[in-house]
Amino acid sequence: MRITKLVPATCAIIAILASAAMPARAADREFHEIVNRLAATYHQKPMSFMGFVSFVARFAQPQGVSGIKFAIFDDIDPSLSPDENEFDAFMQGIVGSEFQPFVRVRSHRDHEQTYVYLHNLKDASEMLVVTIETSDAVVVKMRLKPEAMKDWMDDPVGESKHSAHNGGLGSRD
Amino acid sequence: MRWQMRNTIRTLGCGVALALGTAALAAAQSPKLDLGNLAKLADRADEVVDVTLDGQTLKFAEKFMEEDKDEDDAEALKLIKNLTGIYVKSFEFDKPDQYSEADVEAIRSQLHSGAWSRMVGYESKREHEKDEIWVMSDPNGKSNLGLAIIAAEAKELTVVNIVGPIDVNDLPALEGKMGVPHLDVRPNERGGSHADH
Repeated sequence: MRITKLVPATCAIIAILASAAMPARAADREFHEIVNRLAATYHQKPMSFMGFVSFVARFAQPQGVSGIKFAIFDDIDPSLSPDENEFDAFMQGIVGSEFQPFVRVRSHRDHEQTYVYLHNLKDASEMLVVTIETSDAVVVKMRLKPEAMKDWMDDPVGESKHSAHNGGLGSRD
Repeated sequence: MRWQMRNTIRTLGCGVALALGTAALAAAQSPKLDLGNLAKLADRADEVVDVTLDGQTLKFAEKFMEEDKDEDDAEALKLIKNLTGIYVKSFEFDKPDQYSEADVEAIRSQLHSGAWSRMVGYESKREHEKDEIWVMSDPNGKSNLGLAIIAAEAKELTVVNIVGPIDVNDLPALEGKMGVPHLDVRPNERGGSHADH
């Protein structure tokens, strides 16, 4: 009798815990899929101390920015860089309809591609930044409160380049 | 029976045609322009910048501007409060003639409906430059529904589409922000307007 009562209660607790964990996992899906795709493209893993850097970043992040995750692929072979149109389609497929395109820069002159997507939540916005350059590729995901959006609104293009270069840390000022 | 079926098909056909016609008219009258045809220029361009600020993002921007209380932002805040979209597409080419008049005409043709009117026009043959600012007014002419900027230079093409109530005179408050380029729009002596870069 006690067991029959315990089973539904345990199931309910598991269901609650699983549903609480699910948004975080689902929200990171895009980040991991992009990192995996770049790892496969460049035949290399992102820099190995990223876990430590991400940990430090939690304490160094600018006001209004939280949950920074980033992956850096250093010294990539530019000859392996993905075809722009193909990668565009891949990005669109990965981010789905939740994330809206915000900034897209394609510079043949500087051999640079930047993608910034936004997922607007109630009190914050999730931002996904991907930059591919000649020698490195960076994927950044972060959560921004309204006050952290000021620089992005003032200069979305400049800020996207800046953010990719320093993993979303610090202001340009 | 056959007569009834024929009538039903005819009614359905008319309904579909009416729906399609209404949809086409709505698209033609929408302040949001279809900039899709410009995508093909990306392969030829040296640099392409695409900024999209939809309604949700603008609402989010509003929040920080309200909290920030920055005087510089006050004017922009007033403007973006009612906007539902800002779309900027900019192409830089390493040599002239990388885009055709037809590419620009595909945008301009959308502005030739009755609701849009050209507020600013500047053309310099010497500098191979043609700038236009168009405004879409609501049917009673009391307010504006959107604005479009086409800045065409020999090696550069920029199209800006702002959706929502906005006036040409409000543009300076948005210039240099949210991907909107600097245009230095000012009224000229003849009561019209002039734009230069």
